[in-house]
Amino acid sequence: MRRPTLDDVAAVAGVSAKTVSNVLLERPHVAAATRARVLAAVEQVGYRVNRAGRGLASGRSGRIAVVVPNLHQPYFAETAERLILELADRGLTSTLRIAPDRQTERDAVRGRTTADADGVIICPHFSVPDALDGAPPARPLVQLGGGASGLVDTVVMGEREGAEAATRHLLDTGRRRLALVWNASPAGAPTGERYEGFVAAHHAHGLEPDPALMVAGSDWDRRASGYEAMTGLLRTGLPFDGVVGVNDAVAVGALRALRRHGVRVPEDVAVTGFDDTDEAGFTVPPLTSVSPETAEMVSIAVDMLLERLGGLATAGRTRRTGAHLVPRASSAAPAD
Amino acid sequence: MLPMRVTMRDVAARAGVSLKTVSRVVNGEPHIRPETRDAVQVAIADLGWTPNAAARSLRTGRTGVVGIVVTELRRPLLAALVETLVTEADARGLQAAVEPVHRDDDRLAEIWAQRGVTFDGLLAVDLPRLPEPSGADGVPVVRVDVTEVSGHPGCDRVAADLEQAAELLARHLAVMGRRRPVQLGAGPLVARDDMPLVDLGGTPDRAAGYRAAQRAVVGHPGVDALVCATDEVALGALAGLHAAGLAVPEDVAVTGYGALDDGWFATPSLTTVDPEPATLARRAVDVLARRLAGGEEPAVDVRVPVTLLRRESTLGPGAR
Repeated sequence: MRRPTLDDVAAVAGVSAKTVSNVLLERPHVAAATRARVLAAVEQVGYRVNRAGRGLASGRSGRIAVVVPNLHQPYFAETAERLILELADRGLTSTLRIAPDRQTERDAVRGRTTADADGVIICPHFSVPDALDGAPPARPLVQLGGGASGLVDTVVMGEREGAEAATRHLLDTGRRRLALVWNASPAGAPTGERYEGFVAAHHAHGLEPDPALMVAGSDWDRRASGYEAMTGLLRTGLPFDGVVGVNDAVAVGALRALRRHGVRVPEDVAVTGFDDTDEAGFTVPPLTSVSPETAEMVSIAVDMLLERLGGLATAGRTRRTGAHLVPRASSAAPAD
Repeated sequence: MLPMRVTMRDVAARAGVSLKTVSRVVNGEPHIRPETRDAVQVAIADLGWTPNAAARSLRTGRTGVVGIVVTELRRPLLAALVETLVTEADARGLQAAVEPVHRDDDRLAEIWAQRGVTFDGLLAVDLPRLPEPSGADGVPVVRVDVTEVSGHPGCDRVAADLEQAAELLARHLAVMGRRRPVQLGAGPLVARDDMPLVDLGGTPDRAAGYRAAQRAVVGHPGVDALVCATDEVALGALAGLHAAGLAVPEDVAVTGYGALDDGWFATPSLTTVDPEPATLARRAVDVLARRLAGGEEPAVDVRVPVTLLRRESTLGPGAR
């Protein structure tokens, strides 16, 4: 069941493969009779133009690669789907790739696994500038989420604003000792914009967050991580009355661990998440979360990519979007 | 001085095999001993050699890309299956391109037109209908069904065993003394005559489950179990019953299908059926790889056994 190749067409037409290629690429200086013979041979052997070969010749495939680290995090599944639909609305086709680890992310950024696409929109799990070794990208590349570098066009989520809003909401409603449930990170201590927002809200209230209440599970982004971290915190016996989860997944795990240990939510402890996933509205109790403005992020990312496809050659640009609190029962103020 | 570019010759030397053998491994040709294949792949990884994909594809008429066609990614059960399919494809050196089609027949037709052009083969995930042709012309299509019931003649298929799922759930509920179960959404569970059905009316998501659960308890007085089409529907049902002041499982037991992480962390934790996506993915990519290697045996229909996970939403508090 071998598929016909260029060589088969050449053999049937009695010409070189180079000539077949010249005909298919509509290059000049091919005799009309030769051209007719080649096209007849193409028909006869059922040869179909190979998109990879065509991409080499013309430099354009008409496809955009959307790259996400995984699909089990609802945020990435939702963002990927929104990107694909937005690209389709603008007349572009897309292909979705998954880059779960540092090496696959690097391969996608550097084009090793995305060579068939004209451009790339990536939701990074690691670092796009690292993957590029500090050099500007060789072709249209837009980063959605993560930190700005000045190297690559980046849409920055309102992470600081969002985390600050969730923390402020807990402090405004009378909670005073807030735990932070974090992703496992190599550095150990939390860093980044969500952490900065958490600290800034404390400072605005004249408070300092307690590092003893900052905990992480053993993995990234999983409900089980939030469960582990919260179980560990409860074992310390330290008092706390609020929990800021770095995302909905760990907040849901923490929620479950609290209930399992007989802690009432929201009566004893208030809980917030981040991402406003589908899950948040249907937990018991429903989870207060932060909604990143995903639709706006996606629209800006596609705008930036189209400008690059149109030939824009400036240094990497940064656009920031907002985030807003979605209050639900998990953080209701305790009755006096 | 620039580092020397690694060539296929370097790979052959390091693996202690001929150039021809390296080429056969890279092109995924059959009849290569596993230890030889491993030696070549280790040498490729050690040297960081990249076969020139475009040049390779011109020679072989192959792109090395398989398309994974799926309705939508916002259903976590489908997203989980797609993720494991990508991992399986990757483990065999196949590049995966995921293509959501959103019940858009034009989009599906476009993807079908790319068979043999962009895609060497397709994995069709839970699609109710496939365009023709579906696999008889040298560009293989393998159906991978986790909730979809209908078959497709002449097309390879790897599917979760839904009849077994329905059996396991029915028996579990019967043993636990539930006499008046209602199905929430026809979904994957084969409709049973002895079980009334409440329609979800649209996308089978949490919001639909929330509303349908409340309709079920009003419309079927005495209902003591809700057998939900998917975990998403069941998780919505848990919230809907909670809001209606009903206790799970004391008043109404709830079951799902799909074994999402969310179910383990729900309150109460959700009794569900695990359709074993990793096994589905491995078997499906096996079938696709055999077809890509030229296998011409008649279409296969593989049923993957499912597992019942018994948790609090049927057993009561204290169960896992």
